[in-house]
Amino acid sequence: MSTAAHETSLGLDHRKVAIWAFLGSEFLFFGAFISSFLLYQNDVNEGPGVELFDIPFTSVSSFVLLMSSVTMVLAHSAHVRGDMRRMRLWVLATAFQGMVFIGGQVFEFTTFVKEGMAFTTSPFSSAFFALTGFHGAHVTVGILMLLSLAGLTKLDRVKPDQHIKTEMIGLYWHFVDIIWIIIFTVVYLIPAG
Amino acid sequence: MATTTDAAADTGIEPEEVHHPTPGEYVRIGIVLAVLTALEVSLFYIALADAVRVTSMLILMVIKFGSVVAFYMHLKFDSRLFRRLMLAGLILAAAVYGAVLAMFTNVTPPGTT
Repeated sequence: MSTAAHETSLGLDHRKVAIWAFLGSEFLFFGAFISSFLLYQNDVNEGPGVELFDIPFTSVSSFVLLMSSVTMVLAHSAHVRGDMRRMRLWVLATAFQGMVFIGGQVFEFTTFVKEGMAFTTSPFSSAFFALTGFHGAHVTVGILMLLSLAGLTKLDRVKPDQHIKTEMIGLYWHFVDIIWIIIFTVVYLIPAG
Repeated sequence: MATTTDAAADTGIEPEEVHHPTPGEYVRIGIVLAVLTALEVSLFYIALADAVRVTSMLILMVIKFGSVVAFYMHLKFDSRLFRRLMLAGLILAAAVYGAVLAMFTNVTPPGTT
């Protein structure tokens, strides 16, 4: 389908307008969880608190997610150039880094539960697990979209001139990354310092 | 009937830019982001006054956030409308939740001493 068919009266692709409107609304979604965490970060109900955070480990997984934004933007750049083989390679690299991040989060959650911090232990733990868990769910959705994109490209269902599709998935992925940039600083580094 | 170009002119929204950074520039931005992250984590281990440490971390966070949004999400090059859509959500969230946090931390509920 040509880009012209997707233009709005503003001269912009309506799919990009839609994804940006959606991402704008997502700030409110994550803002609610971040503010809940800030409210309840000291309410540990005699259970464990921020002393459980393993900053070196979280730093590495944060770094991996940040670098996945680099591979994602390189995938889009390759798609714009029509280099579908390289685009697929970068998309799969991004998905792999996302999986590493999720694996780290599963390990972290498991460790916290073993240390006595479950979802219902305290307002602090509920706020923490809700915020980071929803972020993890967003990353998982992003991974599924990336793998679908790679598969559809392999099947020639996504053409070299359809780079808007890679761009939209990329915008979602970068959004997930910028939310983690906030979470890493506000939830991990500042309270544990 | 107004054309697309007319509509764009009427709304003050410029057509999408086609110039985006090169792959090399994207990698260089990535290196800067990595260095900023390393700096942020190092602040965690350096003995500093809380106010200095927290302020520095927040500044680095904003720089990283802004860099990803501007370069990787192309807001520096794309239509102003996209920037406005993002800022609308961001400012609304900051205002609403900022007000909630201020209220919960500064208001004593009735019946408590």
